[in-house]
Amino acid sequence: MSIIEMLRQKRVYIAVGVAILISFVCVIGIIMPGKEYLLYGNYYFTEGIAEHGTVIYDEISLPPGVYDVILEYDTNTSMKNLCYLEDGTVYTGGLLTNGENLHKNLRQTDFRMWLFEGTKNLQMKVLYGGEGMLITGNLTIRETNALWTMVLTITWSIVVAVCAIFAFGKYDKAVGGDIEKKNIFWGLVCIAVLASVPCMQNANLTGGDLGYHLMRIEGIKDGLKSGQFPIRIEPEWLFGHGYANAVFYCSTLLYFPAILRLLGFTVMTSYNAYCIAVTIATVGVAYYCFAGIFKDRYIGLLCSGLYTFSVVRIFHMFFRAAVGEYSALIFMPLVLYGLYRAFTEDIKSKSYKNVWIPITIGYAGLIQTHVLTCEITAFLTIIICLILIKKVFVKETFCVLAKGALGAFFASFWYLIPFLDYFINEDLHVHYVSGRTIQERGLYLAQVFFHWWKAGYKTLTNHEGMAESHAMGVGLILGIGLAVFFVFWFSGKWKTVKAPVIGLAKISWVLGSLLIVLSLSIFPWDKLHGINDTFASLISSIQFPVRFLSWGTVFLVVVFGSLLWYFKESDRKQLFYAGTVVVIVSIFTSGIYLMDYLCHDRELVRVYNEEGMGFGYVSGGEYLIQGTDTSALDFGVLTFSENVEVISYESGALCMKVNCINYGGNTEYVELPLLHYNGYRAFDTQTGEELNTVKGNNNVVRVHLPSGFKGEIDVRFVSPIHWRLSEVVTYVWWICIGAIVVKRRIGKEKREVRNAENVE
Amino acid sequence: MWNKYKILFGIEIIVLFFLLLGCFQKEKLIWADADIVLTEENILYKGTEFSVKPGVYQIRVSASDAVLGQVWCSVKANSSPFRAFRCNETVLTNGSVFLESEIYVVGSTDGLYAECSTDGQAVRIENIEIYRTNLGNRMGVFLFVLLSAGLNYMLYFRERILLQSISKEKQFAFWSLSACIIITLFPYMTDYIGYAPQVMKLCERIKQLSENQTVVWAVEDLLLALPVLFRKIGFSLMVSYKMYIFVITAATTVVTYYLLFWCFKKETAALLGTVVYILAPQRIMSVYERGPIGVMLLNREFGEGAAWQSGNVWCILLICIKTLVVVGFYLWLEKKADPKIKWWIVFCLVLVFVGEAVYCVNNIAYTYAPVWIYS
Repeated sequence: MSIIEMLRQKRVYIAVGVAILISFVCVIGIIMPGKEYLLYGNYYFTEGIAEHGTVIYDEISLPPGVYDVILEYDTNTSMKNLCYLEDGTVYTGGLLTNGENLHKNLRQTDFRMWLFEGTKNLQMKVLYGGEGMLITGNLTIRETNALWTMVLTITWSIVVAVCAIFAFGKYDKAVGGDIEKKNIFWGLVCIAVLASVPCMQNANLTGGDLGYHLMRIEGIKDGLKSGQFPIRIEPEWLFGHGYANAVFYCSTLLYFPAILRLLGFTVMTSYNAYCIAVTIATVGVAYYCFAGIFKDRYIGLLCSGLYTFSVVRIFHMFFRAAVGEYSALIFMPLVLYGLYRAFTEDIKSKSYKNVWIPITIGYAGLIQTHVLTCEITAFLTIIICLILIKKVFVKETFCVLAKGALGAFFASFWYLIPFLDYFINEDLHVHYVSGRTIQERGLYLAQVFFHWWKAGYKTLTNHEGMAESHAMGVGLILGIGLAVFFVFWFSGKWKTVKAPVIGLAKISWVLGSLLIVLSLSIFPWDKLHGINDTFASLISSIQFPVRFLSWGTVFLVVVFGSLLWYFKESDRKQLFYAGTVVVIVSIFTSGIYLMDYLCHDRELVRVYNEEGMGFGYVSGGEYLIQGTDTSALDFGVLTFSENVEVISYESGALCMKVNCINYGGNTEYVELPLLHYNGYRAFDTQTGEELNTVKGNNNVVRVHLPSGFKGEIDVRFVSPIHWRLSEVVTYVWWICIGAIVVKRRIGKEKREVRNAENVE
Repeated sequence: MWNKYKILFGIEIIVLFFLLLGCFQKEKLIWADADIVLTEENILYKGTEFSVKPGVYQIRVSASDAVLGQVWCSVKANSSPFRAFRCNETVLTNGSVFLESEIYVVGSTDGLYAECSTDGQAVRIENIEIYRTNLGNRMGVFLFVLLSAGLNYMLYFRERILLQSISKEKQFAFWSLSACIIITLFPYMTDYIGYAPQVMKLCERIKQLSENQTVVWAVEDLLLALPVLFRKIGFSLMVSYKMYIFVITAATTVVTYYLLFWCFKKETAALLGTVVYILAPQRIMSVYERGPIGVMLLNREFGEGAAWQSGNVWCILLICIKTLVVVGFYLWLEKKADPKIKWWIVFCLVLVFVGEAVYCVNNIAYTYAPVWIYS
């Protein structure tokens, strides 16, 4: 039964009809120009007297909608005063806004407000810190079409989900289908739903890096808005100076929440949606890989559950909000699955030719989510290849591995070239962080196998023991798997089992144990750090030894799965069922128990847009140009040499137009509020002549103005040609892959038709 | 067995020989200073810097006259690799003239220095000396003998398994009881000890018994002979106590298993009973909260009958009764129930007991404040 046939039913037509009707209304709402509400007035704050929550506009009447709020002001301080909106009459969650900090070089705010209930009592308030001068002026509230784009998106999401359910219902009625597949499907749905519970609220759980990753999402959104693609430098970050975060920390998956932002949703909702999407992907990919390894759907389901509810994943997702690391967890099983197939499948089989695909997707995914995890993966792959060196040099296997590696390389070429370009040619702060030691951040053995985790608050546990620490480790259940597998190995049980799964489990046991040791505080990281600069730099970049446990968890899940597989294959059904019970009980008592604590005890954050966060937070600032003083950066600071006069200027995203005159007899300069990463170019708009740009004070863009220059200069960031070529290479590669897939599919269909004809 | 592993045994003997040689090396003075006067105006003394290699060192401080107030002495480092050296600040208290304390160095450390301070009372310190001792070698020998014995036993055990001369029930019992011991010792899989007043008192007593020759041994101190012995070998106070708890737990496990086996003549019943007894949260709490000889200590601290009043004895009795009830239930199931149903009931029971114990040890590890006691 084809998908179209499955969708041919009355209720689907009704659902789509309703959606079209709503869409029609939404489109009208989107097309119609938004209303503008203007309020006039001035408010003078007395210098030196702090005022908290002074109402400057009262009883503002507005219908539901999403608005841009523009308050005119004049101040000589930055980040000291805040304006925001409040309304005590709308329901909780009916008004979403964080307000905006006031900056000395800006003249008006431009923040967004989501109002889901009509009001007559909206108030504009200002928090004045008492420092410097502050005068507020007129207020403009401009209606946007974001409410309608949100409704449109939600409508179609619901319709797609409903239609899928209807289609599944029809398919089930017509074909019946296998009960095992249904059990598996609903099992996976349960895992995904339960694992997403902490994201199903109108807030984000606080996490160490949450602010930084929310800024990344905002950066992608701003970049897309300004027409940049792919995003290389987030334009609004660092008070409009631009931060080349995307060059180093690939944001492929973050385009999804960024698009939700463009559709009008708050950054909080977009992030929660992203977490849910990552969870669903993790559940699905883990099931696909583990079921593929063990050739058993139920074991695949159980392993997927163990993996999704693993302490490491919960730690990365909810304690650290480490977007890169928990996103990388989607792809790690794919690499293992690809390698397993490459080394165990019959090299003459037809399916063997496709084995490179999971390796490629896995590696490409890892490179584009978290480079450090990718490095660890490469290190582990080398170990596996060394263990199986004989198999590596079998022609077909070698080809598959090479194809997988090259595939990942070309799929990530668009990202790797700019990354290497800046990494080699820019003097970045990341090159100077080798002083950081990591051993003190290692775990105790008791932490590794802890089961009943709670929402602790301590990260660096070794100074204070493990009391009240963050949940970190692989968990008791995987530890039990490790121990039982060892006992069987010790007792000579595996000598009699000649299956590739056990071979994989043995390697997994060794590597899993090794990674656990690497994560412990007793591992002499500090000693290795002291050997030389290369070691120091490598070890510093690891930052947390607990990072090794991501792969440790993958390996231990394989070990546990292999035990279940053994019980099932050796017809010890009772033990298999007991193992199943243990897995389910442990998921509830460890993973879900921990998430329950998290939801209850952990602080919540409600941030709706970047204005609510400020524009300056760059976490460790690894990708800043060395020597940049971020505290000296502010919006719109233009400086120039003595003989230059700036008549006017206009700033945009990573670009600026400056009308200026050089009265001097020598080359003079003008410095713009843009961080000078390689790629900035300046042109005289009249003659088209290119002007020289260099790093100025605090590494901002400095444009050299020739003697007697008079006119407008246009400065903008232009991706270098080799970056553009790298993008072309990746596009071509994807087109080739698409063509191969289509060709193979057509070939397969033809073969099936031919076979059917032969049978007839 | 001998033929198969003779190379291993040979290596073990050779290594042991060389380790033993190290035990006879003499103490070596690493650093010293003399004639230091601490006054009300000058309450802090900081010695010159010195470097150390891995080993066990001792700081020895002697005052010219009996100290009136308190003098704190310790060895510190300007910067050192994480936990490369471990020692506690020790105190010369009212009336004493000599202090000795161990410094455990696990990684080469530079920039160490001795520091002394007073509470304001004038003190004249005759000598401060840092010695490299042979305690590390003694510990090495002890640990090597222990590990070799463990390894050899495991190899012997494996040989017997492969020769099928050990029944599956016995193998199962061995691994299960080992797992129970490991679960019980979970809170001590750290480099510190969880703070509990009674445990601290026990450590203090071990310290007194091992360091002060004049202390009179009471009857209830007999069990503490073991940690005192470990301390004499050279282990830190904390490690000695942890090893003692390990021995006590292992002994309790073995004794319980054999006693139950002797009573019921059934391996599975004995195993189930031992699991219930060893993993009983009341027992675990006794170990980590009250100290393993809590009953005796309570009697000594608060007089005869204190243990009964505090409920300790009732707790122990309750664990015994609980064990017997579970074993009795199991034996009844053996006779009456369908084997499959019996299997599942026992499985669920074990799951509950293990879960309860894991919760208990996790809670202890997660909530008890850490204390690092080396000497």
